[in-house]
Amino acid sequence: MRRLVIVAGLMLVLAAAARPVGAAIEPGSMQFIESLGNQALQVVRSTMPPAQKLAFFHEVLRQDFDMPRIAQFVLGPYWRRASPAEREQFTGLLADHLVAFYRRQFTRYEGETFAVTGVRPVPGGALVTSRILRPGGAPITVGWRLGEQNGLDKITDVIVDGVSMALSERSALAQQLQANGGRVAGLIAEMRQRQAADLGPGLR
Amino acid sequence: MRDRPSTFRPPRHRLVKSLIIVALAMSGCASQPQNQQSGAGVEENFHDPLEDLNRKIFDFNQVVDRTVLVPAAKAYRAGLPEPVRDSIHDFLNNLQAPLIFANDTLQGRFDHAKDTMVRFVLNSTVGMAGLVDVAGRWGIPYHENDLGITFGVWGIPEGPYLVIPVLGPSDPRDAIGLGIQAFGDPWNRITSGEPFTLYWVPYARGAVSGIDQRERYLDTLADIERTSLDYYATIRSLYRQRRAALVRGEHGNLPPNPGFSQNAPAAPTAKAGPSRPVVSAAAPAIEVSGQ
Repeated sequence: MRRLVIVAGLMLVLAAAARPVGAAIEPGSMQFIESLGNQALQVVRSTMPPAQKLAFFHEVLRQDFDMPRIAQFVLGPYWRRASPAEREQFTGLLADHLVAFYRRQFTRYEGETFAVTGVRPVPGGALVTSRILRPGGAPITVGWRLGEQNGLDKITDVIVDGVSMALSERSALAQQLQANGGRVAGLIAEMRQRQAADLGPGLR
Repeated sequence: MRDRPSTFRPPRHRLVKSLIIVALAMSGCASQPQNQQSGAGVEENFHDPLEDLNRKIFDFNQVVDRTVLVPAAKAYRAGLPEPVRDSIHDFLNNLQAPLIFANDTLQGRFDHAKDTMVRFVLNSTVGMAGLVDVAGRWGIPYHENDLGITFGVWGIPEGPYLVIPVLGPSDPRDAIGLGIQAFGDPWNRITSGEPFTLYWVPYARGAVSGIDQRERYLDTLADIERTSLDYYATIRSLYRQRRAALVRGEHGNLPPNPGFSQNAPAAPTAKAGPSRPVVSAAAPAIEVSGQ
């Protein structure tokens, strides 16, 4: 029992000691998201050819998102069953899928302004909150979950008005995997098919 | 991140034990037990016992959507300029104010209730019966609220997922909330009450707000349908997450299941999240020292 008290005391000390560590990274995290958001809006509104815009978004995902970690979360328990090659293929396809969806969404932002509103520590990293203000309509709240990868902040999830991108993907794919008996290879084939069909009539 | 506290075999010496606990707490692994509990299970169990029936209704709704709603929404978009559509939208939003105010109050969110009150007064007067969202321009934006959310705030569970014909995704809690609200809506009562007999008004309002909503989501829903492997499952997840976020309120802009540290790859999270994860380390500590 006494040991328990000592351990509990230790935990409290640690809790107090850990606080400044989290706080130190915060201004950087906010700047990171701020510049990323503004850069993306700039690209979307520019006169760049669509192929170049697409390349920009792919680059953002590769550089600023922790794609392996997102892919692992999205596959959930099926990640362990996947072979290294399947994991890599899946990660690539997931990135393509996210670019396809979010680039279209972003393209529709015209008179919108983007502002980072705050940052707070969450388990495993930090959550930067931001707002997209629309001329006619309620503001959209966007949360950016950040984790660390090789000493750099990387995005691990985007949460739009309380809806998590990673969780939505995970839930949709879990349904698919349950239906096909948990075959990741089958899922990969379906994703390929879907994306090939989607890329048909130009880039819009 | 590989060794998990719960599966870890405690060594015999107390000192070693304590050191391990300290190491776990500092490395950020401490957040793991929490995630193991709330992790995978939640979303993978879809809470959808009526899935077969739901999918049939969903397919039916898709047919209605494609043949009636989408053409109507497109005609609405083509036929009316954006400022006019915005005015109609603002007007419809303003009509909802009494119900939103009631729900804000029932949930004890008095800041929101005050906002709704100010919005209603301003927009109904200066904003010409709600046609202009003056309050929104002055920095008091619209927020949605309904009885389903109130039930959620009171702790009533959502129940199984339901797809309602024409109306779409729901659950028993939200469906009951919707029914009671339709009954209690002051505008419905006024228009169909004694001095007037304008029974068509609630239906017209329902139809216009349906088309207004559909027009707003034309592109987003088309994108989701086009890019998702299973549209039904995606919509189900989006609906659930959105409703849960509304129940948690504005400050809960984060799903309660962080998940990311659950089966994170080898990448070390050196930044141990302060306070919460470290405090949660108390759980394995008690478990270990109890043996």
